[in-house]
Amino acid sequence: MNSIRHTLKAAAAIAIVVCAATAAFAVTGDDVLNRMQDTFSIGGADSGEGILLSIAVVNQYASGITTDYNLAVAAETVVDPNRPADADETSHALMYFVGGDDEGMIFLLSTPEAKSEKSRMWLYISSFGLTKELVSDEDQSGNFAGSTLTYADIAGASDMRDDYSATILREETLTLGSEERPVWVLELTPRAGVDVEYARVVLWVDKAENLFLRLEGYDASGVETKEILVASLGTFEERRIPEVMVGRDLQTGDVSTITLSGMRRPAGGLAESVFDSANLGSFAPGTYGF
Amino acid sequence: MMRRIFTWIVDHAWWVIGAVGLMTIALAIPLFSLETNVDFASYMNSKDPAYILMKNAEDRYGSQTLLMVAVIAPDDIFNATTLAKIEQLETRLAEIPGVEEVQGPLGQDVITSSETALDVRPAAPGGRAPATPEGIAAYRERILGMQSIRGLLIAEDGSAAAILIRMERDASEFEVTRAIREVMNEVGTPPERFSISGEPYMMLSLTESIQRDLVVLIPIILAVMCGVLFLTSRTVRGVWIPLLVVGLSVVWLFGPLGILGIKVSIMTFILPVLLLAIGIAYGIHIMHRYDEEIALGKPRREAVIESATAISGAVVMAGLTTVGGFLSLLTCYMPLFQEFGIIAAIGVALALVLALLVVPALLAVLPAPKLRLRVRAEAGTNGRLARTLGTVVGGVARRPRWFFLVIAIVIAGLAVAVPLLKTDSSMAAFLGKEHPAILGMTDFDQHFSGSEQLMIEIDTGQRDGLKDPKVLREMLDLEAYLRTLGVRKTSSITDLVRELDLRFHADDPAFYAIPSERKQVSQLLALFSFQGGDFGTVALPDFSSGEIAGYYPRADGETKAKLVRDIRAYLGEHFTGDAKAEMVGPTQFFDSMGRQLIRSLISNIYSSAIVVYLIVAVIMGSLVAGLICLIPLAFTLLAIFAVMAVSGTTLNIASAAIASITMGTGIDYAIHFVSRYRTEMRADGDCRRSAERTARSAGRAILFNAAAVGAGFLVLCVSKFMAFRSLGGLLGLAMAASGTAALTIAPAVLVTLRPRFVTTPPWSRLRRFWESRTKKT
Repeated sequence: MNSIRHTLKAAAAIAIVVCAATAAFAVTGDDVLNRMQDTFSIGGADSGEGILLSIAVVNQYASGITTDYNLAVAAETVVDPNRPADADETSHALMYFVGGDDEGMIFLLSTPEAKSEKSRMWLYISSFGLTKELVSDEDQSGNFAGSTLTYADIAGASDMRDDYSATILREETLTLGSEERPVWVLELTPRAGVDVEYARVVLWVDKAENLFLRLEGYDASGVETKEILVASLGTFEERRIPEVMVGRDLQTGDVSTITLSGMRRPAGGLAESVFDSANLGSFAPGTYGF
Repeated sequence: MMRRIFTWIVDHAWWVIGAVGLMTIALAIPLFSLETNVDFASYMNSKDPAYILMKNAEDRYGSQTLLMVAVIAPDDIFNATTLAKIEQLETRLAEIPGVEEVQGPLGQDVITSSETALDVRPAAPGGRAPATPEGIAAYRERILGMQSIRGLLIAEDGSAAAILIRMERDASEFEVTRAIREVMNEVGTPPERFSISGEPYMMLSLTESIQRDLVVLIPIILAVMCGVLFLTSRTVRGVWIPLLVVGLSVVWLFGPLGILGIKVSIMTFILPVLLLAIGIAYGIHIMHRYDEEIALGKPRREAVIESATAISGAVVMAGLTTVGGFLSLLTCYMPLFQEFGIIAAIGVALALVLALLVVPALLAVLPAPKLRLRVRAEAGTNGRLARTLGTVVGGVARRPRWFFLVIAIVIAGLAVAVPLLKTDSSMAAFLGKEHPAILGMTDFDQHFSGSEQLMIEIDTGQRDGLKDPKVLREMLDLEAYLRTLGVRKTSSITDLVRELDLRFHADDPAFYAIPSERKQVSQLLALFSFQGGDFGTVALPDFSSGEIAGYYPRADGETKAKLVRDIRAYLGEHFTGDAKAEMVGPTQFFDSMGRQLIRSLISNIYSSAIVVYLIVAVIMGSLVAGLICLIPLAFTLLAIFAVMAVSGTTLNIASAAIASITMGTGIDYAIHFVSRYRTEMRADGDCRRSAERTARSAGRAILFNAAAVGAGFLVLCVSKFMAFRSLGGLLGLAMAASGTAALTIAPAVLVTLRPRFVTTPPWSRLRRFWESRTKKT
């Protein structure tokens, strides 16, 4: 079992992802990838408004064991009005553990968009009533909670543009539940000198929404090791967003399912104090309808 | 029937030679695709509870395949040069394809804390070796203060460092291990000493030792057999024909194994040596008899047919008893011995069939030997050796009671020693203490917590059960008990929970404890996960169960057996509530393997005795004859086990097969003696004279045969494996003992009992009974 933190970072990223999506026409594989990455980047649309949603994570291990946990999430992107329009922004995500022995624990993540800056994380442990900042050098390659998905798999797709070059293999239609989604199928190969998890990636990118709908990761010997599928799409503010994502580790047989629900804007927005690490002990989920 | 077969072979000799040659070429090709199986777990009975426990634990917690590289410094590792080498090792090992994770004393993440933050960083700044005296001193203080690292990645006294390497699930263990060894050899320059240990290295080392043994042992046994054959035949073809036949049987045996994908086990790889030692006799017998026929002046064709027909019965009998001995291994509990028994039996049968097929065909196309052979043929029973044997056996036959008294005293002495025989199924017992793989383990015994590992599974049967403070405290008590048994270090979820409690409370020592509330435990564990922690085997993802790992220095089979008994007794007494505890790891596995060895040995003694007895009884037409032939062998086995007990040679995976090999080959000498004695008795009627004449005529052949086979077995004494060195010595001794016993105990019994089968033709009473029944009806 690995880090739940990655789950939460991933969940935070998912929460942020839903804030932006712009369709565009692309000619080359790199163009498609860039467009997809832009979809992942944070637009200013939610600045000051924030998002509330619930995330359910279910890990089904090949051994037959199943674990699950539920999170109440509040996320927000803050744009400094004094900075240029294309400047980096900081996003905050607060994860509140719902139910079980971990009820009341809070994970707070502040993620600067700039790669040069590091995320900061705090953990509030309700049973002790104490908050600690978690300082770590850890990268984003680890699995979380023994699941098949890493932070890089889900949220770190934003790294793909820097790590891989893409070519269009073909265009086809992907069936997603009852929907037929036209997609580009990209083949991603690592850029020289870059340390990446996969030696080759095949990516299905929705033409209309620029969302990745399916990912296949291959190792250096050409064996597929990972598969991530968007099992269903939801709609939020007239944009399509991933609603259920399923990741399969083809080496271990473990399967993880992440379900997003109850996505909404908080009435009156989210106060900046919500994301202050000193206030974690006083966070009341009921106030936000959880 | 046999005459017609041999007549056909002689008349179609070139066809036979050609067909056998073509077949051999075809079967030689798959030899190159043979693979080895050195996984000791696969040698166990898959229904054995210990095997099932271990496999279930592997399924639940995953394979714990770890490789360990130790860096041992002359003084301590805290100097710039040694630390730089450790850094280089950590970096280069991590770059090897197939390596998933490298844990070293520089790069290993450690948790430190303050009032406001928890900090997770590599033990050395940036995972790099400090170079300044101040940096080294600070690093030394930090790393030696880490309880979880001390004894695991760094020796308590700082004299050595360990790097633990976990491989990717689908990585080729041999390739990765070879690459790791290569890196270690490149970086590992003096004055530090570098060693490697762990199951993958053990497997690689075993395989390489097997390959080395095959390269070394086969030429040696060929040389030894050449010498023995030349001594007994004094002709060049007396050397190459028997060797060729056994060589063919080796190809015919191992070729199909390659085709069928049957891997060569740690036992079957010595079969070429055993076959050369055992199978050589069949060719010798036919050729000696052929020489005798030629010496009598018979033409070549007639001499071949006559000799082959006359000797085939004895050769088949000798072959069948050996086949029977090996097949008796089918009753063994361990599949390793069952497989070895079948393959060895097929090999002996092939050697037998090929000897009866190829030797007559070759003799039929080769020129007849020269006249000088006749002189030696006639001198056989009048030589000095024959006369000495006659005198010894004559003495035994004249005073059998005195002889039995001496034997009774010897047996009593041997019987006292046998209970001292110990079992040891460990790798160290098999490989020997000087084997590189064992030397690596010794380094970990000396500088770290130990190279042996025991695992205890705590199963609460319910989700999050391990978060219950009561269960955690029971686990703590168990770990304390393990340390009283000599376990140097334990590792479990209790360590994690206590360390996290300590760190979360700013290193206040009062908090190095199990929290009182379940919720606190749960959230500390969540904290660990947040920090990128991997629970590994200490807990399943749902915290329903986990493992306690214990590390202790290498121990022999008896010590491990006691450890297992004590732990099981404790578990039975203390874990009676919801949480169940059971030993699941390698310690209990090898303990069970030791018990399986005993079980296999005992069952094999009985089964080989029964099988060999039945074969002898049927062929000689007498139930009593079968028993008499077994008596010298019973003495031989008693002597062998007593020698093992007194010399401290343990019963291990190799020596557990000694009963069947001794029975299958050693019985030939008693059969040979009893058969010849019966012939002499029917001609003379006086038992003492018959015994003496038997010794003069057959005794020399028995001694030569035993010496040849024994010399072949002794070749195993140069094996890379200590177990085979012991086995070779013991089998050499067994051949000497069974040959001697056949020449002394068998005549004493025959002269004392005067059984009727020696004077009555085989099955005559049955025939008479049948005839009387026919007349009545």
